[in-house]
Amino acid sequence: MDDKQGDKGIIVGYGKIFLNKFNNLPTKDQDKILDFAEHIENNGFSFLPGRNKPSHHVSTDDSNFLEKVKHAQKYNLHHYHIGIPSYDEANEYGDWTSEWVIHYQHLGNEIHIVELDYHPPFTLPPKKYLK
Amino acid sequence: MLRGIVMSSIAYRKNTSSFMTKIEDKTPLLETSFTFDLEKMKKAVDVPVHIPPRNLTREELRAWMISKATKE
Repeated sequence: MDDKQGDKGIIVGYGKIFLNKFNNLPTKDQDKILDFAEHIENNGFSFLPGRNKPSHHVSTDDSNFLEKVKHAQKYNLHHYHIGIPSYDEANEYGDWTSEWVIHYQHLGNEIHIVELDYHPPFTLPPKKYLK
Repeated sequence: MLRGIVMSSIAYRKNTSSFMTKIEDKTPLLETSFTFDLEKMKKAVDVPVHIPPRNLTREELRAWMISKATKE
């Protein structure tokens, strides 16, 4: 995490595709996203429980490695392990992982949450999450 | 080499319910194999973004998000 990501008072925006998925989530999973948004707005990126990474760290085994890296860098994409359906707490706090991540753009003092997706190499999630 | 690491990681994970690799628990499996769906992400950054009003309560924010998803 760079210093900028520790800033407080970040504005959180939501992309339309993400909002459509949010609308289909069970309340308990919506709450995890709202927890994240509230934390970001009040505390910045410090002391989040889940793993937070720039998305240009794509596996070099990926057949589309270069295009994905360029895309992630162009849009300053990051992904955060949101705790859906639950956290694996084998790592230390701040590096917990989950099957689902949110994808967001980090744009100065704003982040735009644009997608909710599962994190390979996990198996596909239940259909209720794939609407 | 990487394939070997991943394979051993999967085996280890099955035995221990851990995400850590067998190689001295230094490199989490997820970190070595992250990727994303490029087409999905191209669409995701190409749609309108909505910024909610400041100082909403949790339930107000939830309602605002759902309204944006369903009404626009």
